[in-house]
Amino acid sequence: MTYLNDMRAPKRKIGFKSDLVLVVSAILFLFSISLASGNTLEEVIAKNQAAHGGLENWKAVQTIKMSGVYSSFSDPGPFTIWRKRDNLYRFDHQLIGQSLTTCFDGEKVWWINPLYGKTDAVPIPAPDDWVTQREKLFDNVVWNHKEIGATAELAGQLELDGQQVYDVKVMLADSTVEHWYIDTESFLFVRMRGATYDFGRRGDLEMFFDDYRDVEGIKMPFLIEQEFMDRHRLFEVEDIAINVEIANDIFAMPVSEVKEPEDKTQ
Amino acid sequence: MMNVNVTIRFLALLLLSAALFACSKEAVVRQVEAVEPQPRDWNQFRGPDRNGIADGETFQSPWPAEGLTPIWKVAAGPGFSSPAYARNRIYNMFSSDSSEFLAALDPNTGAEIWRTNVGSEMQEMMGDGPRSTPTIDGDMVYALGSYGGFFAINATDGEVRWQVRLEELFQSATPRRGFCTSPLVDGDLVLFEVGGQVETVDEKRTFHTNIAAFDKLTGEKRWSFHLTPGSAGPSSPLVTTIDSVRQYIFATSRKLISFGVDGTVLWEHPIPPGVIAMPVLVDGNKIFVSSSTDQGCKLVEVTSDADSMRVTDLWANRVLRNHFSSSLYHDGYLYGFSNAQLRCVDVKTGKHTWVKRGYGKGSLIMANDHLIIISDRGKLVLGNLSPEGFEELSAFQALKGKSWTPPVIADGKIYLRNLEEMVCYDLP
Repeated sequence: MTYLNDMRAPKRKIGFKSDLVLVVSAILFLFSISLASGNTLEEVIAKNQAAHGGLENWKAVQTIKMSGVYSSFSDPGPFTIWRKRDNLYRFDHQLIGQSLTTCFDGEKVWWINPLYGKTDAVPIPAPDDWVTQREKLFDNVVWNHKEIGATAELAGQLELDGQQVYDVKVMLADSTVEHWYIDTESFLFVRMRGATYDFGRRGDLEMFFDDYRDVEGIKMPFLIEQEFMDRHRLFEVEDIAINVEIANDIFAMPVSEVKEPEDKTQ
Repeated sequence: MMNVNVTIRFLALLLLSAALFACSKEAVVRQVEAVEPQPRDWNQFRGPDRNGIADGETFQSPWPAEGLTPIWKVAAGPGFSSPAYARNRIYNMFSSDSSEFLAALDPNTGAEIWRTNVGSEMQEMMGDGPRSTPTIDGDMVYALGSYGGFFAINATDGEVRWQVRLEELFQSATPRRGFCTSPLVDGDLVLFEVGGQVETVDEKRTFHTNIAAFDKLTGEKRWSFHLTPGSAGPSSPLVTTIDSVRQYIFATSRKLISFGVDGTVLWEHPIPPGVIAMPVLVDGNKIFVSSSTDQGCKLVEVTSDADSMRVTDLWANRVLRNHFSSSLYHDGYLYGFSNAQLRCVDVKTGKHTWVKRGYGKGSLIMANDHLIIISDRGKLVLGNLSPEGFEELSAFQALKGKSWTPPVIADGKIYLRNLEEMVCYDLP
């Protein structure tokens, strides 16, 4: 005998009075959140920027070169990330024993990704291009949400696994929602919840930021974990260099050698 | 006189025949009865009760600061199979020279006693070699090769008693990462999800799968159940008795299905897709099933009335999303890896009580009222078992490299493996 359960909740009629009660409750709830947090969005962002070394210091950062160990599928391998204003980005790493590069050259995102069956540099196909378009952003979206056409709001204060955090909700220009969690004591970013793509599938993304260290006055995480779908990625950062010379050439997409057709007339 | 002698001889023969018949019947009955594992055995995937718990093992806690004492280490060869232990032998599956093997080892030295070929090697980007764990039952070991060769092997000398090929019996296509499920032995049956064919019509693929029970002594198919659509799943079945009904519970790609001993479907229930981990029995009649997908996990309850069994969802959420590592249940709480986060979940509420990161996509078992965890990069951890919070009591680097196989504890030793080697440590 088979029993499949009907999980739907019974329908309810909601009258005007009920609607009013709901609206008033919602207003009171939002007001209570505001009281509980004791900070506005602007105040939280200002304290968050200060905790990370200050906005002025951050704006003076023109390039970042970060390297260390990147683990995927439990296999560790070397990685390097280069960033340069405005949003030039390159990420070299290894995945399942293959060397991968993902990059933004200022106009397009491209990659060398043998896992997609090609060893040449090619533009990243949609929808997976979304990931590098998102990753390339030099400034944190909480700080410059206005410049990139996003919106931000302080969604509240909550406890995440024993840690009190502010929840800053950012809606990107394409309506993707990200929640950036800021520790209420240190005011550092500790976690992010957003979205990503993997082999054409969209899924939820969760990131964790740990082991903050001072790099020339900027507080940066040296341990970054990513979880999405059944994936786990770990960045164990060993070195971060700020404002080092990074030539634009490294962001340019290599042009595959085009073989001249063989002349068979002779 | 002659008639008397004939009568006496006839009666004697009759009595002898009756005695022989009784003996042989008794012998058969003895053979087909479930062979109970001995205390401190770990005779199959996730231990004697397939729940990840080693009953009867005691050890000093915390462990020595320098870590446990290694007894032996062998270059086992690629594979993710979990070792199994019984009758003072450790059985392990691995690959070598493009073939997969089941081998018996001396638990005191790691010396190989015999090895038997169980088919071609699965070569796959996540790691080569077999995934399924052998099941020991009396003097037999049941082993499933990655390409669907299923073997009953004499535990003493490695001789093949019988074998079946799933491709021949069920037209089973080999799954992308090979057959991963671990066979279940109960009574006179050995059963598991055996897969099925993949039909392609106008570029549209339809997957079939089957669940089958074999006579454990002869390999003869006792019953099977066809499921379409449904692709061969890696999850391993559970056996339990609910309201006096013995049943085998399978987490297939589409639903949880329970079978009676005769193959009758007792109940079925939808579950999140992509389940790899084994279902977990909770308080006798509840089942926790989990997937690493965004659909997450659920706890269901099985109840029965006069002539039927019914299943209801108690809760469903994303709090404990098991990938390949199965959870365990103890005293009202589930403990397991939600992708790369070790979590404790209250089964009453479906909410987690604590979270611990840092072990990657680890695996865990329970022994001596402790959690024993191996990180996905080979760090062995002893942790307290409490819903209040997690404390790392001891930790040391026991293996290097990708370590996706859960620890095994048997008879005072702990066995670990990665994709290259297998190690044995003495428990203090």
